[in-house]
Amino acid sequence: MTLLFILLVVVMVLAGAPLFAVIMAAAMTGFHAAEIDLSVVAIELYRIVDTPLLVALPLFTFSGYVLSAARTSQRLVDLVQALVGGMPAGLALVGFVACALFTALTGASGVTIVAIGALLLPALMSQGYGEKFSLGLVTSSGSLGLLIFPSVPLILYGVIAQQMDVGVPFAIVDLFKAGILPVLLMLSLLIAYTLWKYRGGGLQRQPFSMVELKRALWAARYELPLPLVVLGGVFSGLFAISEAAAVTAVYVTIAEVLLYRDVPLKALPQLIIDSMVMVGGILLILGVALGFTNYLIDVQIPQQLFDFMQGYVESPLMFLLLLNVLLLVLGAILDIFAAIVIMVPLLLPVAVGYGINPVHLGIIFLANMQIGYFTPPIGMNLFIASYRFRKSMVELYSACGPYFLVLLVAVLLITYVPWLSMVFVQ
Amino acid sequence: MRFLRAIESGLLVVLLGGMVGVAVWQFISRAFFDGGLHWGDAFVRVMVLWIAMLGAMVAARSDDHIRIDLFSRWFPERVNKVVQRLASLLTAAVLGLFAWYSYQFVRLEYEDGIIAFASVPAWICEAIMPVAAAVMCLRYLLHVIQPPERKAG
Repeated sequence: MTLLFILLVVVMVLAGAPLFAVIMAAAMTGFHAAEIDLSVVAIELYRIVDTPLLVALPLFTFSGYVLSAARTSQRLVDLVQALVGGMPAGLALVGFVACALFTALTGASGVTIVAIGALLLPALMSQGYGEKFSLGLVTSSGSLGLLIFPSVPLILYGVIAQQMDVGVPFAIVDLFKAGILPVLLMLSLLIAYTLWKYRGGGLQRQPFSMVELKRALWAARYELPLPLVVLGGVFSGLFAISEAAAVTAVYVTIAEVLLYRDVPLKALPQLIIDSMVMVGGILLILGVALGFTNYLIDVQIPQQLFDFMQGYVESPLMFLLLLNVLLLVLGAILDIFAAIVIMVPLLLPVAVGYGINPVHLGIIFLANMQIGYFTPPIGMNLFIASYRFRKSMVELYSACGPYFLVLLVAVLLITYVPWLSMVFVQ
Repeated sequence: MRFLRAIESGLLVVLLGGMVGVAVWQFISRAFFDGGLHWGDAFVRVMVLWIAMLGAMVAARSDDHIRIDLFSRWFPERVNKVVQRLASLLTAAVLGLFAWYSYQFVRLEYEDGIIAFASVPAWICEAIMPVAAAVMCLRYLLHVIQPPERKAG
């Protein structure tokens, strides 16, 4: 009987059934085999209610949708351009920074490619950057912001890792602190690559202009206080994450609907519904995965996995190398939220067994997922860029190749130099 | 069906609005008046569950749930439609089971008279689970009969 159920779960995976249903079926199969009443799946799902941090998820996602619907992307690009556009390879830097910030705010790298990439691509090419270089830049930078507060995947990792209670306590804010240097490292390497690539010149430089900067600052006047208030509030401990999320939602709505009038009031209900459909999808998967994880822990799967691995892999370094390969593959085929929900419960206890800090693991995990987004042949952002910019997949493979290598170096450094992630964490 | 859609959408908007309102009120009253509704935090957390289930119901309308799509790229449309019907059927079965067992859970809590917060009984907060699962089950059964277009991913 159990064998039949397991077979059905496999069929569901292969047939592309919704992930929540697959995990639910797997959890039910497990509990059924253990002769536990299946109501337990509902009890576990109801545990969503016991997780205060989850309140932040719908609120930040809603804010992200409002920001995407407004002309925030244009103002952000203008402002970053006025600030750093005058530096060598300035516009490329604008692209990296604007994409990273926008992805952090909206939590969705596909949206970044569509919103910011479409603005940047023509601008980059008009300043002398090659088409291939520019296309690669906007495609691969879409996922740059995953490690920056208030990125939703980072919050989700924190929620799951804290639920697991692996004996190494940490605060969600630690994750945000840990992301700072890794993000700066990625940006530096990307800029270094750009400068090396255009070392012979050929790029137009836009002179720095105080007038432009003032104009851009004035245009962004209602949005500028937002990161200051939220970041300042969270890092100083004035706000809990969920309070920061509520304040952000109210602030963003007032700014975009009442002050800028970018988003008509009439459009708000549809934005709420669209964003909550996405949140519902993620939370349902999370809820059923909580049940499944409990089953796995009950039957000591993570422990067995660790024991098994120890037989073959002795050093933490070797483990980290395997982890990188695994996560790269997963990042290319799995939705990021699905990857977090499925893999973190399995990997975290094993990683802690090898002496890796949960905060460091979170950064490694997301940094890998980040490049998984544009790993050939099936990274999701490749499809989005191919669709949006009407380029063939093959063109995108070769455009993103160099960026993949550059960011792979960054990911390896992040993985093997824990200091980068842990220096600001007590 | 149209009536149901209007309720779902309306509830989502009201719930998110309510959630933002209560959460901000909690923050303001804690920061400035050293107070806050004693049931406010629990209320907001139950809202999250309701929003999640309602959002999932809406996503089920056109089968917009997150999935791992490994193979459909390499098969003709005709084959994919058959596979999609099979996936919907199995999903409906799982949802049907979940609706039944979560109903059992809710009924037990009702009989035990468990209180969630303030004087709101827990079963009301939990009732969204079997209801949402039942509606989603129905929707996936309809998808078996008529598979919706999958969005290009």
